[in-house]
Amino acid sequence: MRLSRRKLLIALALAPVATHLGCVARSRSGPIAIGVRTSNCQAPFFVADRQGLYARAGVDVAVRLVPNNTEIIEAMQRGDLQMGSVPITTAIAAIARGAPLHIVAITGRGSDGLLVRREDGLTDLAGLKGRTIATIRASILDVLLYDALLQAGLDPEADVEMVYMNNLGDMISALKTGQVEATSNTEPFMTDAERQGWGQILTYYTANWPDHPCCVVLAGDAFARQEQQALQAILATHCDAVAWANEHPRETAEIVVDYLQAFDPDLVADTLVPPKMRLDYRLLEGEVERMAGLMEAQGLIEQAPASARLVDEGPLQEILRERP
Amino acid sequence: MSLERTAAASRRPARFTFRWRRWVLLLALATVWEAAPRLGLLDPLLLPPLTRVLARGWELLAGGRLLGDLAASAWRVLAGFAAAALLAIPLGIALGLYPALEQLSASLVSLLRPLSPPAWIPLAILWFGIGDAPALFIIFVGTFFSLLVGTLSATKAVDAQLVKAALTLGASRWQAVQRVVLPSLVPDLLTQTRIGLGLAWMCVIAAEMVAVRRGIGFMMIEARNLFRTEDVLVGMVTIGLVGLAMDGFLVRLEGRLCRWRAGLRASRLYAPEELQA
Amino acid sequence: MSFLSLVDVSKRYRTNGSELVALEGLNLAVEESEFVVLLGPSGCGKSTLLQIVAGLEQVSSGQVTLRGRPVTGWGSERTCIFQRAHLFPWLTALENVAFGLRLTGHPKGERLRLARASLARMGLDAASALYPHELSGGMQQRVALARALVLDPAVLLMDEPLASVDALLRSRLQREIRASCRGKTVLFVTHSIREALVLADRLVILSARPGRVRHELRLGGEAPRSLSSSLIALEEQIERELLEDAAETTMAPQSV
Repeated sequence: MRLSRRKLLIALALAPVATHLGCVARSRSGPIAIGVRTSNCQAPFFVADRQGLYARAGVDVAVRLVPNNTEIIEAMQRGDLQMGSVPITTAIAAIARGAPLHIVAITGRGSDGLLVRREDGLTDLAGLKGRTIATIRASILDVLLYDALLQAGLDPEADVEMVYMNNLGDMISALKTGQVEATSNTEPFMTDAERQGWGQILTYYTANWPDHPCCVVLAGDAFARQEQQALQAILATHCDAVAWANEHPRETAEIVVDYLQAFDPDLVADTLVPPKMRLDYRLLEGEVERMAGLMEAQGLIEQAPASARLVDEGPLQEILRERP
Repeated sequence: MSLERTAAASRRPARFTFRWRRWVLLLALATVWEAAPRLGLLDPLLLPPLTRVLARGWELLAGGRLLGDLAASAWRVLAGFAAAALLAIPLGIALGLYPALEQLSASLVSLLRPLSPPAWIPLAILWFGIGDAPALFIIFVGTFFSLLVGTLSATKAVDAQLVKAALTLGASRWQAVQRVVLPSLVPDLLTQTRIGLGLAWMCVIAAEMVAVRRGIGFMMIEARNLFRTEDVLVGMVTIGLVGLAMDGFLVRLEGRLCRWRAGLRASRLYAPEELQA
Repeated sequence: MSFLSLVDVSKRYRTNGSELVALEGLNLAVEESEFVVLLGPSGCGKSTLLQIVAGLEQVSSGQVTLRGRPVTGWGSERTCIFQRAHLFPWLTALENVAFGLRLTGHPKGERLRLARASLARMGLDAASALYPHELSGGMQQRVALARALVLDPAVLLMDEPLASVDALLRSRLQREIRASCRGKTVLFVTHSIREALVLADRLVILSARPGRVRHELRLGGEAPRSLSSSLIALEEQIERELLEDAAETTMAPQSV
């Protein structure tokens, strides 16, 4: 008798926890929440938010800045966010593990590469042999680095020493103080280092994979199913914001600096445009699958998910059909 | 009703009673852990079923990865803790014996103590570079202040009358510290060690955020980035089990060294059978 | 010059701006092998007096000498017994008794031998291997006594050692104390008039606030004394005296 009473108590104690964590269908109220990373690549969201484009499109949207990719996915799981914008590798990893999400658009291309110190006098990737490279494990920086090294004829396991860190800024510091000899990093950190005089961009990964995708837009499956109109409207706004940003890099840079509270507009304006980076919304044929393939090859995911599982092009196609 | 219960209790063999008591809560939690994700009450991505976690744990163990990571983390925990103990315990005793010193350091300690280990990471990288050194520093900092404050209050709580007794038996100040203060502190220091080691394990994840190549914390961070929740849980369970083992060892040591501590157990307040836990 | 003498001893404490006078111009002479009992109401400074002789407190003015030499600080020639035994809980009874010998560097064999002998004299052989928490309060005090006596101190200072012992045990321990302290110089503090009369060779009655010697009484007969009508009469007389004293001090304005 004591046993069942105790179990009842435990069940009662855990019940509130369960309902919080559970994915029992919840009726959503309030604005549609989009979680975006604190990076350059999310400029279209900052622009749309600042200019009230969502309201104009008739949707109630709240753009939430989240510094951590994994947290965006976790928040989408919990239902705290309905959409998110994260690096493509994070999206693929989550979907590979069964997260009920789909990639519906991208936000940007390029922007990632290798940074070294000017004083080391490196000229190409081959020069990295035997050196230490700082990277963020299992991130897009890692996947593209690995691929670039392979293409340059180096063995990423044996020919270089990877140093895994967790923070872009820490890696820059480590490079600056000479604790590592290279870092796989992203804009605007890299151009910033060059401007300070000590850094030198060895290469952009677009040299190996032109126009590779950087960050993508994710939509929760439940949300996409239940609120198709809203999703369309948000994606349409996203396309408009991308177009506007590409035409007004300087103003966009100022908006980005205002949202991120970091860097200066000059630097950001410089790094938002080709050849360093390109804001875009289009999903190109096979690119997500290619990235998933790389991740599988590198052992980061067990199996690359099927195309249909990764990407839902439907909403975006709808919008592009309506435009010239 | 209670009479029947006591009668029943006396009929049931004593060993079965207490062992059952110890495990029943764990079993209940294990059942919930397995059932809830499978029934959809909890999101399987956020909390995978227990059996899947155990299966993954076995995979990692058999593959050698888990033990290697565990060894790397364990050595950092022990080394970081040892460094903190070697500094904090003598310092704590000194501060306890000399109020002037305590007053001098009080504000500095109060300022630094609330800083959680992750807050020290940028400084750690700056001062120690990358690799083991900053990781050890993080663990050191995470345990140092707790050990210091704990030793300090234990020293202040040493029975002053015992010290007086020693003095009147002819002890010099130094002899009083050596022969009265230090032996008095042994049980409290063992408690502080248990607390400190627990804290050191808690710091492991923060410590291993700083560019290490192996370790349970590192494994868990990577797992989280790849949404391998099973791996994260395997890491947590492993840390929990190792922490339990270390704690158990210390409890046994405390029992052996501190047999003279009467305490609650010696009083007749509780029936002996109830205490066998 | 007497064995132990206190000349014009005063002790003043400064607390929160005001001054508390614990002892004022106290004079006391103790002869060798004398069992002197200090008696007085609470607050008369008898414990402070003991602390000063033990060297745990410093005098504000005046001097304390032992065998003609001034007393500075604490030492094993003036050992203390307190209200509680304060045995070291991590040591057995035997090791407790041997504690003081270890401090002076006696080799292990010798100090254990001496400790065992001291315990035997108190009838405590059976308790040698026991820890303090395994001993009763009375036994603990006796071990404390053995611990002090084994060092052969010049003066034994006892601060109400039987205050927390029950009445039945108290008379037995009173006899034991006198027996084991035969020939030793003892300064014994108590607030029990009867205890003082049972134990003392000489009784020193102190007055309170400030503490000074009010009255000294040399007692005849061999201690420990048994209760006789004359003893009880004396007890009543002293009690009256102390009550008067208390009344005086409460009526008189506080001296600063």
